Amino acid sequence: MSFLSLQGVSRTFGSFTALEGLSLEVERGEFLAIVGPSGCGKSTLLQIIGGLLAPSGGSVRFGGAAVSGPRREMIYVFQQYNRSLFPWRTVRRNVAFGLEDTGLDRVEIERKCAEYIELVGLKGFAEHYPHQLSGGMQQRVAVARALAFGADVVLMDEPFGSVDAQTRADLQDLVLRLWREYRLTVLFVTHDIDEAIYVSQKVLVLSRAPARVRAVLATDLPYPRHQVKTKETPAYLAHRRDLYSMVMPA
Amino acid sequence: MSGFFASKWSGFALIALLLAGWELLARSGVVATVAFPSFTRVFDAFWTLVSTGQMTGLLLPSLARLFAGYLIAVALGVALGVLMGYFRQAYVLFEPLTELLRPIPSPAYVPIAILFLGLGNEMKIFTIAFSCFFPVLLNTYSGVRAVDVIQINTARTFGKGAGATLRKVILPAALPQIFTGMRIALAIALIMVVISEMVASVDGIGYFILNAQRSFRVPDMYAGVITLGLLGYALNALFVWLERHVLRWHIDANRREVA
Repeated sequence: MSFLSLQGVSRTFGSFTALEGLSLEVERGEFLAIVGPSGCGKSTLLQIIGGLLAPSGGSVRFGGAAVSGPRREMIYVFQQYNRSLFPWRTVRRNVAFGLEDTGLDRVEIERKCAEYIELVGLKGFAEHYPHQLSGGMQQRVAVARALAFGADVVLMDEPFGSVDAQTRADLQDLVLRLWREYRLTVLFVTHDIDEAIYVSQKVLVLSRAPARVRAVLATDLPYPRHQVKTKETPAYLAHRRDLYSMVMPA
Repeated sequence: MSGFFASKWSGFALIALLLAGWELLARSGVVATVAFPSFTRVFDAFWTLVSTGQMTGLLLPSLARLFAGYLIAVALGVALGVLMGYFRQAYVLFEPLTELLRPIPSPAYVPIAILFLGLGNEMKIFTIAFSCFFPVLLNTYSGVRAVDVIQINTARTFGKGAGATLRKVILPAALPQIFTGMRIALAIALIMVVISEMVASVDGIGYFILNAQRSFRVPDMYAGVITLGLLGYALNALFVWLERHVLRWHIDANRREVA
């Protein structure tokens, strides 16, 4: 029995079919990148897994149980971090959001907030409001908030789509470090093939809408990865060539 | 000279100039002095009211009615507004009714309220509450409806139930717009307290102004009107102070967007 398993999942919006008969198995601790042509339903798939959107057909099972709504073990990190953070809460209180109403006492919440704020490199910014931070720093807050929640599975929807290249590289390395340190399972949607290869153990390629699984390709590259060296290896380049030909047929 | 017009003093200088003009016009006898006493006589009357402590007695009943009606309106307006913004069924149920009642000018309710509630405080508080209710309601439900679906989904992915989502996401997100409604309602509350006191009362600032006019205490009448100006200014200043404290994040974030 798989950790996370999708059987024949479909989703329609009116007359538009976003996903059709999609099946997928994910193992505990895996780092799976999901790529596909733009508008192919990557986010829809992730939202269904996260229980934020109900499938029109098929089933999602997590640890053997059907997923029918958001689950404590999974956390969704939104692409639009600037809309997902609460502008009326400071960095510290944003990170605390997921910990409130869970039975943790104040002291414990504060301790965890400080820990995760430091972990994502935002020590000294705890009392700042989101609008006082850069885009990259805001996304770090969103990552800290998600990890502080203590979920095993992190669903990331194009998390670094709208930050500059340098920040993006830093954030990729940050997520990889946290994934290894906390033995997380990460499902990472991106439209950037290089990013997908750099972070993942496996890349799931979706077809044009209605999306089906086109291929699952293993990324045979050792960790820890290096922003320059990893991308120069023949294995990386061959993997990249294969993926490009699938996502963008000539 | 351009330095003077750019400074904040030019506005105060204009007021001083108008008051001087008023004084001159009244003293020159161009306008009948019974209806138009000089500013110094009006100020004398105003100062007598303040120094003898009569002013407190005038304002207290009015302020009590104003705040009672206003707070009832805010509580009910926010409660129903959240309901209408959150639940589509509530919106469909109440929206036509509110759209029908809203355009009726509030003073038109006063005679009806007198029939049911008499001439006392209940009638006045009811009229104030009823008139202030609509701007709070409208702004609350449009604020709640405008809450970003991503913020609501964020609450969902963090496992928040309906209660926590309401308290921690929807209300704070809608708060800037709720405050807009509360600001409009505050101005309406002042209008309605004066109207209701003019129609039927034996105390309060509205009663005082009308009574002064009827008993030819014209300087007192003007002093009452000036008091209302000052009161309106003070209420608004209080509101702005409250807004700055509660919505600091919102004001700062928007200032940055503009800059």
